[in-house]
Formats: sequence, structure tokens, C-alpha cells
Amino acid sequence: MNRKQILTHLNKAVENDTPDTLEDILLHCEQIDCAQQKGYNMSTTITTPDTPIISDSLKRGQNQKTKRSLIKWASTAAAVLAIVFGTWFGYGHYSVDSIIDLDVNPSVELKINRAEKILSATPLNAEAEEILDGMDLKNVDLDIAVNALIGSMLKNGYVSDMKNSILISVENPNAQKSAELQQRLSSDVSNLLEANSVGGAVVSQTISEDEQLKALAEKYNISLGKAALVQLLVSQDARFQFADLAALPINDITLLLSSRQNEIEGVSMSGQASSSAYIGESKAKAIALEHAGLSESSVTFVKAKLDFDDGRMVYEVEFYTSSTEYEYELDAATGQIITYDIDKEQNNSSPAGGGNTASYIGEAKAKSIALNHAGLSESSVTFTKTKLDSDDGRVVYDVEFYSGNVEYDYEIDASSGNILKYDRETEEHSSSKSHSGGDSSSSSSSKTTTPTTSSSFIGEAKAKSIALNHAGLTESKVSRLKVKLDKDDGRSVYDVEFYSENIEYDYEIDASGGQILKADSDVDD
Amino acid sequence: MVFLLLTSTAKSDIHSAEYTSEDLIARIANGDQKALAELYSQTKTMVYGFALSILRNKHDAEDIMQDTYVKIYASAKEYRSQGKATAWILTITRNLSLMKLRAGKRTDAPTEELWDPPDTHDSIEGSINRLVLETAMTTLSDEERQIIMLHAVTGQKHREIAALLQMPLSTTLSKYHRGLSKLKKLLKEDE
Repeated sequence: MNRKQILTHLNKAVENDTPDTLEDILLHCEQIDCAQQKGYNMSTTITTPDTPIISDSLKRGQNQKTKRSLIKWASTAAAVLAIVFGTWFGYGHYSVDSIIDLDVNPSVELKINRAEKILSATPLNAEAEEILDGMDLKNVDLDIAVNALIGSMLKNGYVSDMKNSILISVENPNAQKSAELQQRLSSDVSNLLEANSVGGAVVSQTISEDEQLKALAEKYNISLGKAALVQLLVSQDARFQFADLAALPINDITLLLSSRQNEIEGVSMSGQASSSAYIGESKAKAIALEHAGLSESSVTFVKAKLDFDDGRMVYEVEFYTSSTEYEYELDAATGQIITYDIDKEQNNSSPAGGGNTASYIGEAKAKSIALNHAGLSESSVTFTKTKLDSDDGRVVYDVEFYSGNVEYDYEIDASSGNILKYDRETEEHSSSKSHSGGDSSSSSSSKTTTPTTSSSFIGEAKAKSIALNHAGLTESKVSRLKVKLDKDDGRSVYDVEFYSENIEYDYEIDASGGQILKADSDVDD
Repeated sequence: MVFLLLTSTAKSDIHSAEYTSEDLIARIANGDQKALAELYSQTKTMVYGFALSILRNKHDAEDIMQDTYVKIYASAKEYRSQGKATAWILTITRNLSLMKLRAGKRTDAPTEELWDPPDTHDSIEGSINRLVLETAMTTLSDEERQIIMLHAVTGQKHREIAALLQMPLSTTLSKYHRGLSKLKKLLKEDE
């Protein structure tokens, strides 16, 4: 079975397996429509693409007994509405109007009524108990209470030059009111910090009641506000685990946020989180460069940013030279190199440049070892890949080439030149059409070895005719013909697409040699 | 646009293939449920396959598939056209799937009951398909599985897949090749 067949089988298997749930989906969408017609306002605070708006109770096959299931759906919809639109708390003096979470490391939850008097102040962790010690905030104005709390955090050293981030989360069923309160508190706290000559970072957000989030907040003993922020980060980056981030102080979370701020909606931030506990980006760059044996002027930086990986704060540093890509991960506090990855680009002229690549055998040698083993000469094969790579912690050359319809794949130890793995496979032409339709230039068995110097491509017209020939069609018989020069697997190819009757054809043609690398036809029956 | 052609059902409307996902999303934003049904039939295999590759559990993948379309319906208004409707849809699928994964931590025991026993009416072709899917589900790493599945069911380019999975292009390339080689080898042993 070749690669293309594997993909095709996979596609077919999934296609056969795909369940039909359209009716349930449409039923559910109707519930959303009803809710909107009743005049609920969609809160702007939950529109980030990652917020769960759908409860897990959405289940299969509820459409059989329509009457009964409609009742069930109505209750499901009510649960969804509770998440989407917030919960209504009512009016009176004793009823809660808004909930405000203040997080530094101490986390305090304030509940206020409509007149913005404190109904309750709850410490959510041990530090917060210390902060709240002896304070009676009941019936105090919100502004005064916040002032007192921040003052106490400053006094107790929870807000300092090293850790200066404060998270304010506002929860109110009325989105406009939430936003207004969020803004006011955020600027109050900023002023307060400034007055105490601490340049702090104030992160603020409005949040909505959400059962799933609430459960997470309770599980990890953090405020709903912090949970929302952590959730947001986790959904941005698959490597992040909720449990890991929940344990970080707000300052680290803020640093992570600011390193990717433009990607996060619904959170506003003023001021600069202190990174003085860490080595800093320029130091991180310098360490990586020194390890690579390069100077700053000889490389181009892709990124150097603070990140979180495997339970710790790290700097991720990436840069490249004309021939090589470098990727480092450094411990943000100590500057120690945790991992690095050096990737040599294909077909570079000389192995110069990278400090420690000098000890490797080189691409040319790797190629010749593989060719020797295969019993072939360089002129009789076409290389598709020669790359320095690391596999299972050892540095290897990945060498791939083909000759006729045989594909070779070698993994060679980059230091010793030993062959670690090889794979030889005869590729059958799997597309339903054979080469017969064409007059030939397309046949991959006529290999005039084309050197990989890419200056002379065959041109779009030629690529087009090769593909059409292969399909046994003429240009007048096809529609929506597209030809595009593209890069695939590091090699230049022409992507040719067209339709004829109910068949879609998709070709990838080597831009230099004109060989057909991929032929795909998809019947829409 | 290969995914347009993946769906072989719902062919009653001959004009269906002419609607692009972009048009459909614009209509969905106006509450057009027919457009949602059309988008569903065009993209369901892709959405289900991708969810399956993350979750390795049919029931969860089915849930996420439903959630994805409900979410599309609820937030079509916020979609800003960049000519990449597929990327948008797959991002929703991915986020919902990852959230489910975190909530349930279901990944550890994929096999057995999650894969239906082979249907005795299965054609030879059908059982090969199933074998390939099972092998992919049980032997590839998370990333390899997702990358290869995306290639199989979406027809997206390496570059687009790298962006979707938030990985460097070089990583997706090498994982794609490594994963396929692994499958090739295993399936050869089975032959």
C-alpha cells in the first residue's frame, strides 16, 4: 500500500463512519433562534472563538420522539442560555448585582449590590485570608473596598516590582454594565498602583457564569476570573495544561498573555507585567547564539519570547542563517538550555555555518552512503529530501529519493554515517488512469536527471499540458483550470487542478523536471 | 476545495457544489438553516474526521461534530471572510475537541468498544478502509494522527495544516512523513 492509497482508505473509512446528526443540529439551532428573539443580548464577553457555548448534554438521537425531546431540548437550551447570557440575579438591596474577583496571588471575591455596596468579601486562598484579616468590608462602597484591598496587598508585599500584575474580573448579567465596571475598576487600580510608585500591569476582563469553568475554578481553588483567563490561554495553545497554569501567579500568566496579546480577545491590559524575575529576551538570545557559535549579525531572528512549557516558564528562541534553522528553549529563570533543534535546509551549498554541525558527515556523504546501499548512482535517481533531523534524541540525516517507481527512504546517523533505518518501496500508479493518455513527457520512468538548481522551471503551460496529457484530456474539455507554482516538501512544484464532467483532477508536477509527483482524481458520484 | 467533492450524498440539488463555504456562512449568519444543512453536507466528513483524530473516540467525535455546527450557526455573524472558511471551521472543531479532551481525559483507552466490530456485510474494500483507520488511530502519535487525518479528509496544504495546528511547517512535514512511513510499514506486515 503506498502513501496515497493509505490516505484514500483513511478518507473512505471516515466518510463511511461519519454519522448523520443534521436533524439534531437544526433542532438545536432553532432553540438558539428562539432565545435571541426573546430579546436576550448576547454578551460580548463570551465571543472569543474558544469559549464553550454548548453543553455536553447535547446528545445523539434525541429527535425520534419529538414531543418529549422538545421538552428536553427546552431544558438543555435553558442550560445553554445560563452559560451564554449570564444569570439574572434580581434587584433588591440584598441581592447580588455583580461579582468581582481580584487576583494577584491572593484571590478575593467581592459581591456587590446595585448600589455598589459590598455584600460579601470572600478570601479564596490562604494569602487572601491574610489580606482580609480584620477588615470588615460589608456595606462599604466598592471603590473604598478595592482601595483597601490593594493597599493591603502592597503592604504585605504581594504586589511588588517583581510581581506587579493584578487581574480584575467582573461578572454581571448585563454586558454593558460589566464592561463599564471593568473599565472603571481597571483605571482606579492603575492609578492606585501609580500613586504607590509601583508600575503595575492591570489585566481586566468581564466573565459570564459558566458551570464548566466554575467546576474548574473550584477544583483548583482559584477564582472564576483566573480560571477564565487560564482557560483562554489553554485554548490558545495545545501544550498548556489547565492544572499547570492554574498554579502560576497572575504575573506569569500576564507575561504569557502579553507575549501573545494580539491573539486574545476579550481581555484588556494596561501597563507592563514585570519580567524582572526572568533573564529577559536579549539575554536569552545571547545564550542561544553562543551555543550555536553564531553572532547576532549573522542570523535573522524569528522569535524570542517568554512561554510556558512542561510546567515551567521558558524563553523560546528561534533564528536562522541562510542554510540552517535553530530553535532553542531556555529556562526563563536560570537561562539553562532545555532543548534545542537544529534543522539544516535542503540543497544548501556548503555545510558551513553552524558550530556543531561541523562534526557531522554532511549531506553529500549521507547521500552517497544511501546510494551505495541501494546500489544506485546519483545520476539515476531523483532526490526528494536530504535533511538533518533529530529522531529519538539522536541527530540523523533523512535521505529520500526515488528511481523509476521505487521509493527509498534512509535514516543515517549524522555522526557515524551508519544506516539506522531504510525503507524501499515500489510505488504502483494508483490513480485509475495510467500513463496511456499522454504522449510521454509525463512518464516518471524517463528520468533525465535534473539538478536541483531551480533557475529553470518548465513553465506553467508545460505543466498544464503534462497534466492534461496524463488525464487524457484537452484544455477545451476541462473547466476551472488552475496552475500554480507552489512549494511542497521543500521542492518547487506546479499545482495543476481542473474539472471534467464530475471528476476533479489534482496534479503536483516537479517544477524543474516535469515529473508527475502526485496525481489525484476524485469522482463525485 | 477538495473537500467539496468528498461528500457523495445529498446530490439532489445539482447546484449545491456551486455554493462556496464562504457564501454559505454569510447566509447562515442571517439564520438560513438550509445553508447550514448545505455546509454540513459539504464539510461533515472533514469535521468528523478531524475531531476523531484528536479524540480517538467515535461518540465524542460525534458530539463535537454537532457542537461544531451549532457553534458555526451561533457565531457565523462574527466570521470575517478571509477566503479561509475551511480553516475557520476546523479551528472551531479543534478548540471544541481540545476542550472536551481536557474535560474528560478520555484519550487513554481508545480501542475496543469505541471501534465497532467489523460488519459482516463489510466489503473487502470496506474492511481495508477500516483496518487503515484503526491502525492510524491506535499506532500514531497524537500529532501524526491529526496531521495525516487532515491530509486525508481536508485536502489542505502542509502550510495550512501547520497554521491550524499551530506548529512550525517543518514539524508538520516531518511528522507527516514519519507517520505515513509508520503506517506503510505496519500495513505491509498485515498484508
